[in-house]
Amino acid sequence: MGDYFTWNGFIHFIPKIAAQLPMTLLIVGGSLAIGVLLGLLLAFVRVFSIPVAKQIAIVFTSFVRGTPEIVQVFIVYYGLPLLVQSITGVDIDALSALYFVIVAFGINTAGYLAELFRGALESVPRGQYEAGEAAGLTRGAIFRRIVIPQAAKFALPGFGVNVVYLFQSTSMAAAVGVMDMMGKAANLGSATGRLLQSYAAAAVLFIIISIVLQWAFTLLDKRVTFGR
Amino acid sequence: MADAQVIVSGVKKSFEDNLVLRDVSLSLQSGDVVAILGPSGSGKSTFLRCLDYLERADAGTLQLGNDVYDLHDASNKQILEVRRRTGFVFQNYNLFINKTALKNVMEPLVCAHRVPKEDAERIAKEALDKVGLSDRYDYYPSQLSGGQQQRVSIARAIAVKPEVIFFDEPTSALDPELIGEVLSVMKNLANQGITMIVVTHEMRFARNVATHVVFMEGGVIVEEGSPEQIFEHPQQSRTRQFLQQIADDAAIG
Amino acid sequence: MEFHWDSFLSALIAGLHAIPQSLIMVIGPFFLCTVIGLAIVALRLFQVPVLPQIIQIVLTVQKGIPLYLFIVFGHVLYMLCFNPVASALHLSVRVGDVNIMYFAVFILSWAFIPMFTEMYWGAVLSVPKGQYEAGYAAGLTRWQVIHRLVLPQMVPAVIPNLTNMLIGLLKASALTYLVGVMDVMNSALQPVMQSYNLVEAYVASALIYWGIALIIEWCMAGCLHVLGRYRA
Repeated sequence: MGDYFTWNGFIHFIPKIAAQLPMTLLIVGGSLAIGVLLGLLLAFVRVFSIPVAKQIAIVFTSFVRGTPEIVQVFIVYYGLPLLVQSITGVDIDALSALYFVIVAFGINTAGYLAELFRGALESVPRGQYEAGEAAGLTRGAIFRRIVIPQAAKFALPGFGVNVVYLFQSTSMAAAVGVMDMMGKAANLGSATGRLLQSYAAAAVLFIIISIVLQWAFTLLDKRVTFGR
Repeated sequence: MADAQVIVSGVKKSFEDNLVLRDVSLSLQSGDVVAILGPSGSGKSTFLRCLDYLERADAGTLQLGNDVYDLHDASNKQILEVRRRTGFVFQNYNLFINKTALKNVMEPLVCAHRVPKEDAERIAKEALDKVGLSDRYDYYPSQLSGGQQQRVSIARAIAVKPEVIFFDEPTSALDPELIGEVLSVMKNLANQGITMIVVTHEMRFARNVATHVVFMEGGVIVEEGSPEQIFEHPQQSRTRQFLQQIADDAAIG
Repeated sequence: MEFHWDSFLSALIAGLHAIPQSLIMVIGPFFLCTVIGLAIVALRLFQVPVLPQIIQIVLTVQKGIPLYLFIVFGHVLYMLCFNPVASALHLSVRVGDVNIMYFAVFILSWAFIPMFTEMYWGAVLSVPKGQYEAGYAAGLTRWQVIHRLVLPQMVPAVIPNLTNMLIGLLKASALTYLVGVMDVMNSALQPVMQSYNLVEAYVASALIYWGIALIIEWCMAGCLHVLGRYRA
């Protein structure tokens, strides 16, 4: 297999692919930002049973969690320009695929985070609200100072899982040509005819970073729940 | 039921560096009811569990009738044999969660004793009737109270007509108002001549129903004798201390 | 924005026809992962030395590889190694003769083994120790305890997670377009290749996947209701 894989070449590829890590992180960061905000909104709508919005949230979440991410990426990539064009007349087709990918993964992450946040909010015991009211706090203060901090602790482990999963899912961005780590690996591999090598290098990078991310969240979780 | 005696000799058991059983021996005739008393950590439960190979003793033998079994070194076949000749009632009942009361009692008959299903069903129903649960055949353990579950557990043990039944603190996990129904079932069994070894904290049961009382502490039998001997005239100071402690607790409660 | 309903419909029909392909890629891996997952759980449960730890390390490392990369990487290896290995085993089959579906089921199974193993291990742990003791004390053999008590009690414990796994497999199956499998998404695209009404095709395939996911959830909930009767 010397023709397809050399250890030298393999080592050589690693920094080249790793150079695209910022791009991957950008996708993760952007998607998380959208995902957290939208997810919180969806969770609140469910928890507070706001009519109509709640039903929309339920259907939306079900759709996003029940369809393949790759299909969602393609729908946003091909569909968003058409939608935007028909509404505002602006042609965003030329915009970098990166933005579409961030929107797609943002929406996808929102669906999962909405469920996570909803579960966390519902895990806070009723007694906490009652104690807060008895102490004379306003609804807003109860939420800010008592409920949300506790819900955040419940949500942390699941949030970590979602972040790691998001990090790995971004590799699908390569399917629409984004030059993240996966995209770079595919590109490099086919350009040099050494796909095996470039994929192996990418795999090593993904494994290391996934482990580091998991470890970081485990550490964070320990520090946060230390007081229990 | 086989007219057998049960002889236990020289049981030793350590957990890590902890010597839990130092050298425990016991001898029963058919129909005897032995109550084993003692403080927590005295090794009483461990002793009982060793007899059924639920813990593996470091040394000791169990004799059922004319057959002697090594409690440390036994083949799977021998272990199965002992378990088929004995019954075990656990502190937390351990009924098979996914089976009804009837199926629970039938399980050992069908699986271990190869009794045909129709016969097993009949025998199981009789056993459940004996413990007063004729109207609960098809209930799952999750639908039964603690006392009812323990009675099913006893039915499961007696259905196979064992030579001896081991009871490991049968009422310790029960709410106080449910203890009575279980103890009265056990009393009936004793009256029917079933051989029983009961690890318990229920002093009145030990006093009124047992034929033989054993006091264990620190992994050894400190004193044993008839209920009158142990409760009225304890010879050892440790026995006296223990009984005094129990009496004091009862007075406060 | 114009939504081309004719394209949507032809894509939908093409996608519906491909449902069997997608389902094979859910059910096949389900069986393979269950067999292998339970075997790994058995190794851990019976405290076989060394092997479970090695497997654990391999699985942990493997979990760090994204599915997309896993599929394409696996495919490259498959294409390179198949013929040499076949020759070495004196088999006359060549990689081009083998239906790509075999590879798809194989690679998806391999990718999901870590998660299935964790799921089954959690289910085994949920069976209380007392069940084993009561079974043994009643004279049941180890195998009787396992297949009459442990396995039945694992089922309701496993169903919620299994639902997620099956839906996960369904979604993963869409990525097999990368190796040329004609699954729902890929098939839905065929009719619109000329007109470039791609959005209609992707929306159609999304709806099909969503429908299957909902059916899976509904069926599993039914199973749980029936098989979990004995629980409180």
